[in-house]
Amino acid sequence: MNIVFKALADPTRRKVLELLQQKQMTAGELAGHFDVSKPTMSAHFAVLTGAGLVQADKQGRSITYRLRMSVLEEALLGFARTFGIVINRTSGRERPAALTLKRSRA
Amino acid sequence: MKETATRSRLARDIAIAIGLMVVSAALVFLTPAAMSRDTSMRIFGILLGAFVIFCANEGPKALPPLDRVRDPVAEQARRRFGGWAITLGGVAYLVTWLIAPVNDAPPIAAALLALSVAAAIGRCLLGRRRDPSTSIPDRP
Repeated sequence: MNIVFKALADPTRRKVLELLQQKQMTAGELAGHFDVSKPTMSAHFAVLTGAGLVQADKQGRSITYRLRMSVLEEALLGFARTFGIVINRTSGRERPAALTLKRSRA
Repeated sequence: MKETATRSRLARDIAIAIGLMVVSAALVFLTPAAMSRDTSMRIFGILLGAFVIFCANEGPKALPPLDRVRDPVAEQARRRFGGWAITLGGVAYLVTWLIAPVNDAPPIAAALLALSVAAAIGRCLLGRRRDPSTSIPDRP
């Protein structure tokens, strides 16, 4: 469950999940919605895939991402979107056990 | 890796099944000597509600991957709706058994759960009528 909290803690990853809630998208289509570098986006996709929240299917040269969330995970996403989840960082190391809640600034 | 995950999931499911049987047997054994029939029924209802929530929560994830269906967008919408509807039905079932009078709880809980299942099935049938090409094709 910690890995799911870690995945949902980042606003970019939450936005990716929100986009995938509407329809499946390729990595390029998703990256087009964000002003970040491709390696950064790849790292976000890797975290989401690792947490089992999305499913990646390689078709030729493009990778299609599809949502693969349970009801509880979707509820957590909604909760994180409303209140914001921030993972406390100590000397650069993430500690998922020390989750704190913050009001969303958006 | 995938095999390990399947094994651990199977072990978890077997443990849940054994747990349900043990609790059911314990309730039968304890009623009416150590526990009233009403309490026993209430505990079993709550347990059943929790089981429905557990199954419905996993539902959208446990179904075949979306790359195997012809219309993944419509299928994803159906799965999400079905998962949410039956999970909320399970919550309603559990809460009814928790707070309603024991004589009234069975019909109310069953009606709420049936309503949620009917909503999920209705949504699936409605989607299929709109687009009959959304069945799961055979994998090549």
